[in-house]
Amino acid sequence: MSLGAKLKEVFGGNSAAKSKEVVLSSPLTGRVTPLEDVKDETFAMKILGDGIGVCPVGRGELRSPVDGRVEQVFDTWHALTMVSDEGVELLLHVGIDTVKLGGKHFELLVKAGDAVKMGDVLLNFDIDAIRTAGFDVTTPMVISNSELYDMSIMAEGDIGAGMPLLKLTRKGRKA
Amino acid sequence: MKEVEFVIGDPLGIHARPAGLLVKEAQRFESECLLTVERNGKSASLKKLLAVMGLGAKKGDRLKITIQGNDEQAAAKAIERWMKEHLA
Repeated sequence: MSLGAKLKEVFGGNSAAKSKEVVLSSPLTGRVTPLEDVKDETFAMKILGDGIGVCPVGRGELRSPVDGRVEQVFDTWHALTMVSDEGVELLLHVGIDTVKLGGKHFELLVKAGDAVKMGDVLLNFDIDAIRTAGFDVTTPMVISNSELYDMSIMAEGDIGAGMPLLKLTRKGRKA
Repeated sequence: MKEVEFVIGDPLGIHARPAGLLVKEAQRFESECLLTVERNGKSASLKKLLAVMGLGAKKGDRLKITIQGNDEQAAAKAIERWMKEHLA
C-alpha cells in the first residue's frame, strides 16, 4: 500500500472529499513561468483558467502533478486533461502552438480513463526537436475549474519535477 | 429553443485555444448550450471546458448546438458569429 493510501485509510476513506487543500507538484523540471508571461494570450489572459507555466530543461518528461485520472488526450499528443482525486480539473499543454506539430516529437504514454499517481510519466517529448522546429516549449498547467479555488504559487525560478508548485484551497468551506 | 449548425473549416479543429474562447463566449449567457458532434454522436455542455475539449471535434465535422433559456436568441446569434469568425 502506498503511503498516500495508508494515510487515507488512517484518516478515513472520505478524507479526499473533505480535504480543503490540494498541492500540485511540478509536472516538469525547468523554470517556473507565471501564466501571464506565457506567449499565448489564451493562456496569459487565463481564458482557459488560472494556473502556471513551466519552461522545461533536460529530459522532456511530463509527469502527473496529482493523483487522479486522465480525462482526455489530444490526438496530436501535445496536451491532455486530467481530474485529480479531489476534483481539480487540469489541462497540461506542452509548448505553445504545438498542435501544429501534429504529434511529431511527442510520445504519449497514457490514455483517457487511466488512473495515475503524482509523478507518473504521462508523455515524453523531444525538447530540442520542438525548439528546432520553431516552437516555444513553455508548458502551461491550467486549472480549468480554478474559479472554485484560491490559488497560491509555491515556487519560483528553477524547479524539479515533483516539487510542490501550486496550492489550491477550496473556496467557501471554512474549517 | 434555438439551434445552430456549423461545419468546422479550421484544419486544427477545436483544440485548446478555440475551446477556451468558445466556452468563454457561451458562459456570457444564462441559457443552457449543448454541443453535439454529428460524426461521433458525442455531446457536451458548451460551458464546460474539459467536456468541450473531450469531443474531439475536427475539420469537416458538423456541429449542432441547441440553446435553451431566457437569452437563447442572443446566445444563438453570438455563438454562431463566434463560430464563423474562429472556426470557418
